[in-house]
Amino acid sequence: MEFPSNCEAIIIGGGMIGCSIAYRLAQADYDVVVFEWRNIASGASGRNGGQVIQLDGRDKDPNSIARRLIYTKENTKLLDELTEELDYDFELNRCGSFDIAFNKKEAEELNELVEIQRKAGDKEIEFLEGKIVEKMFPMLRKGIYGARYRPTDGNLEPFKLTFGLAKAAKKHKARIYTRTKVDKILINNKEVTGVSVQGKTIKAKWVINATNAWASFLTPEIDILPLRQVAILTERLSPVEKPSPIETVIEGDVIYTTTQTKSGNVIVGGLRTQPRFRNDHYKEDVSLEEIQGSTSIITKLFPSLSHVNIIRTWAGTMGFTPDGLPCVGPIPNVKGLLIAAGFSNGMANVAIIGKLVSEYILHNGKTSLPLDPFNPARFYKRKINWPEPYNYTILAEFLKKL
Amino acid sequence: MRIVDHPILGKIKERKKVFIEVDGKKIEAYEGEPIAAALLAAGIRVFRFTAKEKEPRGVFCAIGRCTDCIMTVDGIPNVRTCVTPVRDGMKIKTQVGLGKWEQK
Repeated sequence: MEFPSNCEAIIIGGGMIGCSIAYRLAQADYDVVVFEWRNIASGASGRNGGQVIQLDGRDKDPNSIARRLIYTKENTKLLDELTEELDYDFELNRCGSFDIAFNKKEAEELNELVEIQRKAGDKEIEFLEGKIVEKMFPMLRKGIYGARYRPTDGNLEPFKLTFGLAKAAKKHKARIYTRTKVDKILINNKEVTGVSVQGKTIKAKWVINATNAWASFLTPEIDILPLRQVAILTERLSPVEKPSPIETVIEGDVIYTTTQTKSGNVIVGGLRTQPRFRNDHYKEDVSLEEIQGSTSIITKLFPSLSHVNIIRTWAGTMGFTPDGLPCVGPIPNVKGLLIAAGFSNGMANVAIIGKLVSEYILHNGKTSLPLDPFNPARFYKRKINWPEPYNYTILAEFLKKL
Repeated sequence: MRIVDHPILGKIKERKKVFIEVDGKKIEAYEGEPIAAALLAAGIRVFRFTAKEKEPRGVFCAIGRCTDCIMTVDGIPNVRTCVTPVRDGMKIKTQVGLGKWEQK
């Protein structure tokens, strides 16, 4: 394949973050090249549930809540704009999201959390009584004690969003090479000079590592931990009243589901997967136990759907950081080298991160919102003795003790 | 129509006669035969209507692969009638589009 010998910016990784940055840079007439080692959206970007949840997890620190929401709210606004801008329907549906409590203790925790969030300036979040949730979700199992509800959340089709961004970037003359692996980032005298691809050198002033779970192979200074998750997809069902994403804990398993894509399939994921060693987290096989475990969730959540057929199941690898926030910005001590990786909640960041990283490059490090909370310097050459083998539950326990 | 004397498989075995309900209408069937066989024997050829264009569909592959013959059986949509055996008193409905899950 013929590559250009030089360009202004090279983005490594054709996932939604890489394509989002490429789109914004190309839009500003910047000469951008994207290298993707497999295909567009072949990693976590094409393997997630597509849930747009602006504040995931159960963060209780008011400052951190307020700070995170600045970015995710702006992101939601940009997603709305992208719906108009992109020549591609990525099925954004602002149908709200739920964090559901199936026992009294959890309901109290959620209620307390809603109060903390509202005090932190989050006016959208509300606590709904169990009976109201049951009315909104007739298919859900009974015995709901309450839910944390955000009406502005929703879901989208992550594949289509990534392809839409790639298509728009190409329209603005970005060059995207798939099935093309970057072997090495070239650095000379503390300055990035380009990358080496299939024995060829491509020069660039800027190199952006947007390979998420694979980021540490190219920039070992920043430790992004791979975390493998499993998902299953049902056959197409007639529309339920509320197709919103749900987060919940049932019998100790943290579950997220996207109750229904536009075409009618229900995605269930986030089950307690089998612990694996770091290198095995990149494997995209799924064991029989994991399929059985995931399918049992359907029956636990939607008893009336116990006969539904599962038509697909898959695993995907996301990037994990110790504080749950992505690493976005310059890598210390190398001029021109940026990283945008470690996204565990990509949909809530994809549009805003693309915009901010492109601003950083176009305006000499000046961005419309500060990149400080995501500064890669906080993990620079920091070694953490992660537990081995691990899964999501083990990591969560480990981080509590840190 | 049923083949009661097959040139290779021979004569059909004696089976228990049962009744199933199709869109509210009672039809005769043999226990254990595929639902699709009973419907065809009763002259029913349209099993469902497609989601987008509302076009009629019936038996196509008849070996459980193509899902063209799916119907709503006892409140469960998308049941492949060509590989689902008949039971006495089954309630079968012509499926329109993705069908409706009847909650128990």
